[in-house]
Amino acid sequence: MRAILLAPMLLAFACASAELASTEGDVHWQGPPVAASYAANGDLKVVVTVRTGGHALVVQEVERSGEVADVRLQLQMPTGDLVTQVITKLPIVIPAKDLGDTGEARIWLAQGDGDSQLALAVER
Amino acid sequence: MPQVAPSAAPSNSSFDPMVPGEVVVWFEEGKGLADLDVAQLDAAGMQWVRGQTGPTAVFHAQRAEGKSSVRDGATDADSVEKATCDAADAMAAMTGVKVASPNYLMQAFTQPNDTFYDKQWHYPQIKLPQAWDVTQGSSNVIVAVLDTGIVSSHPDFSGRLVGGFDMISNPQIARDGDGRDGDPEDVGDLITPQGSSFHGTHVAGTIGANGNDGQGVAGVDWNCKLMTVRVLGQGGGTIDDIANGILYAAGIPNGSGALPPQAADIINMSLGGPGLNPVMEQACNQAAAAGVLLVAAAGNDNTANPSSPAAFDSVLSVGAVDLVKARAPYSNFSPTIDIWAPGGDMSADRNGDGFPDGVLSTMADDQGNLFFKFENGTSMASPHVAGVAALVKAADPNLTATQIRQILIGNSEGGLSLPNAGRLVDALAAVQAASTGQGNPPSAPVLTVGEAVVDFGDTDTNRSVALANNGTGNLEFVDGFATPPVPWLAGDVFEVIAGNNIDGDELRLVVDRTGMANGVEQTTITLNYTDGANTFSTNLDVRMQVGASTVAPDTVFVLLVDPVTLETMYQTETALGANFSFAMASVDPGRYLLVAGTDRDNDDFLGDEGELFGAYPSIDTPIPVDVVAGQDLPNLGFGLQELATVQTLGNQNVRTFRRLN
Repeated sequence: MRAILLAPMLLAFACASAELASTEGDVHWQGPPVAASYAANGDLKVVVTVRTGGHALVVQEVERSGEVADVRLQLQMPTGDLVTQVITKLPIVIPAKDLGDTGEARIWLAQGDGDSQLALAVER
Repeated sequence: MPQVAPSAAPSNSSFDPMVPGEVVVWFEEGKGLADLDVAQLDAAGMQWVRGQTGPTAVFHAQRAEGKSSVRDGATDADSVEKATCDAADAMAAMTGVKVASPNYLMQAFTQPNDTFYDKQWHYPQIKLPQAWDVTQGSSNVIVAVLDTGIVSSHPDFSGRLVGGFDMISNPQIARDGDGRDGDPEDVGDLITPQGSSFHGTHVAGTIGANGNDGQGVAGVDWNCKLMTVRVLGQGGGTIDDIANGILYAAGIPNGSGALPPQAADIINMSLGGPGLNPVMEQACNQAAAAGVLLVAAAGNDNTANPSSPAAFDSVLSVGAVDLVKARAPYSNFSPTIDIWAPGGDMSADRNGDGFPDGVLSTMADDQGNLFFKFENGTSMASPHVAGVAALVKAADPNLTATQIRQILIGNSEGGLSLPNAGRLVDALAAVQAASTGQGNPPSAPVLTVGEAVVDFGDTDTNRSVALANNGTGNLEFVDGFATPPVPWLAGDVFEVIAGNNIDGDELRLVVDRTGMANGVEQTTITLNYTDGANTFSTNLDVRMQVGASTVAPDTVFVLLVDPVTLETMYQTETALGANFSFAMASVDPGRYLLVAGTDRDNDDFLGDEGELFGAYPSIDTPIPVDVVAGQDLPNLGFGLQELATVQTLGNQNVRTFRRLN
C-alpha cells in the first residue's frame, strides 16, 4: 500500500527552490552546472543539473590531503538511444565522516569514462 | 429594429445553458410592460413572470412546456432550448421590445477544486479554464503515453487507465525481471543513488489526472483514457522498443505480437535524442498514416538542431515556454517546432508564489510514496498539447488527426517573442473551433507572417522573419516589393513552402545605412505567394534608425493605454531620476491602463529586455484608472524596474505597449 503525501511534499519543494551556495575555484569543468554546499552536520551535498533523464551521479572516491578533500564523482551518461526530456537534478551526499576535518572540498567530475575535471571548490 | 441575442439556435447541440422557457426582454426607451400588446403575447403563448418596473421583464414560453433538453437527449429541433430561442425571436419582434434573449445561465470559468490547482499556473496560461467550459474531455478518446510506465495506484488516475503494454525487451533496462509483457507498471528506472524518475507518472498526470475531484492536481483532460506503453527504463530506451511501442499504441502489428483492444487517438512522447533516426521515422509515419496524432517533446539542448522523434513531419513538435510565455532557457528552438506549450522554468519564481515555476503533476518515489512534484522540460510541454488535442477530439469526435493538428496550430496564440514566429497552444480557441465546426481544415492556404513590424533600430543590419502556411495546399513565393521603394533595404525569401503545411519560409532582410542622413527610415514590404490559382499576400512594416538614437536614455515615457485594445491613447515624457513625476492634461473621461518606461533602443516599444518599465500600481497586478470629467487623479505613484526579460503585465506582454511618435 502506498502512502499519500500531499502538502508536506509541496512545502519541501518550496524550500528546495533556493539555490545551493557555491564558490568560485580554478575550475576546468565544461559540463552541466554543478553546485555544492555543506550541511550543518558537515555532510557535503553536490548537485549536478542535467538536461535530460538517463543520467546518474556516483562517487568514485574521496581523498583527503591536509586541509583539502578531493571528491571525485562520475556523471554516468544515458545508455538508451532516447531519453526523457526533463531537466534533472542529480544530488549526492558525501558524509561528513568521509571528509574528516578538511576545510575545503574540491569536486572533480568525469563525464562517462572521460577524464576528471575540477568542477568546483567549496570552503566549509 | 428589434434584435435577438443570440438570434438563432446554434447549428449543433451546443446550446448554452439557460432557464428552460424563460425569455428576458429589454423594452424600448420610454416603454414598459403596459405597452405590450396582450393579443400578441397571447398569440405567442408568452406569460409574464416578473419585472414590472425598469427596463427589463421576464416571460415564460408556453411552447417550451413538455419539451426535453438537448442535454437529456432531445434533438435540436424538438428541444426546450430551441423552443425558448423561438419564443425570444417572437418577443423581439413585438412592439415596444428593443431586444429579447433566452435567460441564459452565466457562469464563471470552470475552476477545478483539486487541492493544488492554484499552483498549476500553466493551465490558465493556455486558457484551459475557459476551454473546460466547452469540454472537459471524453472517455471515448484514448491518449497513449510512451514513457517509463505509470504508477497506476496514484488516486489521480482512478478509472482512467486502459490497456497498456511493457515494450522494454531488455530485463536489465526494464528492471521488472522480464522482457516485453502486458504490465506497464513503472517499477522505477532507478538511477543509483538518485532514485527513479517516475517520469511517465508525471507526464500522464498532465495529460489526464482526474480533475475537479477534490484532491491532488488536475490534468488537461479529465475524462480521456490513458494507455500506458512502457518504453523507457534504466538509462533510457532503445529505438527498437520505442518504435514498436508506437506501432502498438497505433494498433499496428509489431514485434511484441500484442495489440491493444482499441488503438490510441493520440500518442505523447516526452522523449527524444539527437539526430533523425530512420527507424523511428518509419514507425511515426506508419502511426500517422493509421490516423493517430503523434506529439513529442522538442528537446532540452537549447539548440536549433532537430531531434527524434519530434522533428519528423508526421510528429507535432512541442517547444517549452516559461511562466511569461518566453522560450524556456533549455528548450530547443528548431524551425521544426510546430507549437509551444508550458514546460516551466524552475530556476525562477516569477509569480512569487513561493514555488519554482515548474509544471505541477503526479509523482511517486522508490519508497512507494505518492505525491505531487514540480518538473520542467519539454517533457512537460508535450503533454499539455497532447491533452488539448484530446479535448479537441472530444469536442468533435469526427475530426481526423490531421484536422486536430491543423486546429491546434491554426488556433494558437501568436504575437509572442518565440523563435521562428512560434505560437503557443490555445486550449479555448482550439476547442471552440472544434465544437463550432470551424475546426474543419481550411479549404485554402493561410499565409501568416511572424512579425508585423521589423525594426532594425540604429545598429542592426540583418533580420529574419518567419513565414508560414497555416492552411491547406501548397504556397509558392511569387515576388516581393517595398512601398515606397527604398535603396537601403534588400531581402530574399528562402525555403519555399513545400507540400508540408507546417514548414515555412524565411524572409531575410539586410539594410545598408552607408551615406544616409540621420533620421528614421520606413517602408512596407508586400510578399505575394500563389497556390497555382490564387494570390496570397501579406505585408510587414520595416523601420530603421540612421545615426544615434534620438531618445535620451533617461527619458521615461508615460502612457495611458486603452485596457481593451491596448492602443496608446495619451503620452507624456519625463526624466528619470530617483523620483520621476508626470502630469497629463486634457484626458478624455474613460478607463485607462497607466504604464511607463524607457525606450533606450528607440524601437518605440516599452518593456524590452534591459529597459526600465512599470505600471500602476504594479506590473503583476495592473489596475485601470478611471478618468472622470472635472476630477484630477493625483498621487498615481508606481516604480520602474529593469527588465531582465520581457515580462507580462497581468495577461499582456509588456512589449505590446508602444509609444507615440
